[in-house]
Amino acid sequence: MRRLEPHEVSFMWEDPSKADGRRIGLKAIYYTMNNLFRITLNPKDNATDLNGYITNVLSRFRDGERFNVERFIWVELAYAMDDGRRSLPYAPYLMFMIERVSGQRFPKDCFHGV
Amino acid sequence: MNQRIGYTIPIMHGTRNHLMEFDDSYMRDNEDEFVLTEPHNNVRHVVVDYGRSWKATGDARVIDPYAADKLLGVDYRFWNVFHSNFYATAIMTKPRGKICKMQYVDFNELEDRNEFATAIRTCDRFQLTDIMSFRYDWNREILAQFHATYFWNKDEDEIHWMTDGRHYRIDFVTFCRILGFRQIHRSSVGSMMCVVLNHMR
Repeated sequence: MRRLEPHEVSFMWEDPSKADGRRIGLKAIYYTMNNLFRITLNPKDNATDLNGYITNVLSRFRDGERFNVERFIWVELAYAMDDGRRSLPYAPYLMFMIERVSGQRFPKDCFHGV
Repeated sequence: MNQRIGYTIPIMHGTRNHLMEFDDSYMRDNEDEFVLTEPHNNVRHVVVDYGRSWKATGDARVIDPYAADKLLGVDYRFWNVFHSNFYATAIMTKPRGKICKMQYVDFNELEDRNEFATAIRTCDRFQLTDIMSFRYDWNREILAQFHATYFWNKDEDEIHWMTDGRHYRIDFVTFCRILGFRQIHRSSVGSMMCVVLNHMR
């Protein structure tokens, strides 16, 4: 899958001529959705801009086209794992999966906050 | 010694959303202490700093470590030297572990704020509400082991990892079901989760 460039999804910005991949200037709905995604489905070490495939995801909202969020998570995890400099994303989901698969509940030492 | 332990669930259409409702009667509490701990290896090996390199990590992740026997002498938590090195150089160097900040969304709270009305409707329409509002605490060491031992078998579309010295795997369809995605974008509907293989400790 190819990452969409900002100019290909310029409708997401208030001023399409200023579509630059930054959050500043996004229309309200895309700005809000990106903020919600940054802490859930698209966590990054440094998420000041629209990183990775998130532009592909956000752009689907306009036409109501369902995107494959489960594949998105699966692939984003793989990308993070291929780079030793990056942190592990999706901690709560992975912890839940590990416990479901192993059949064990482990003691927790990190709090998943709101 | 080969063992097959762990838990297996048939996954099919109609499987309940595990995030919100599932029978956990098969699960047991593991009350051992799991904290980040330097690897204890009894095998000579070159130390590679994976915490500074994307290429070295990417190259190493391509190789299926579980295709070979577990290396004797390497810390029981890991399958081979790469896992141990990665854990020591990319994870242990971060005092609080190497985990992205994660939060859940309290949609009930957002409902009271008009500026979120469209976003809430959008999440609902795209069936994202359950996963984004899901809350679950985690254990840093358990996830560090996952981080170090992860392998994506692209041919089978399944990921492998180790937890407390045991090797597990899960396929994509089962992963989706566990996370509560009902509409799977794949033809396969039959799947099984979890097999513990080649447990050596």
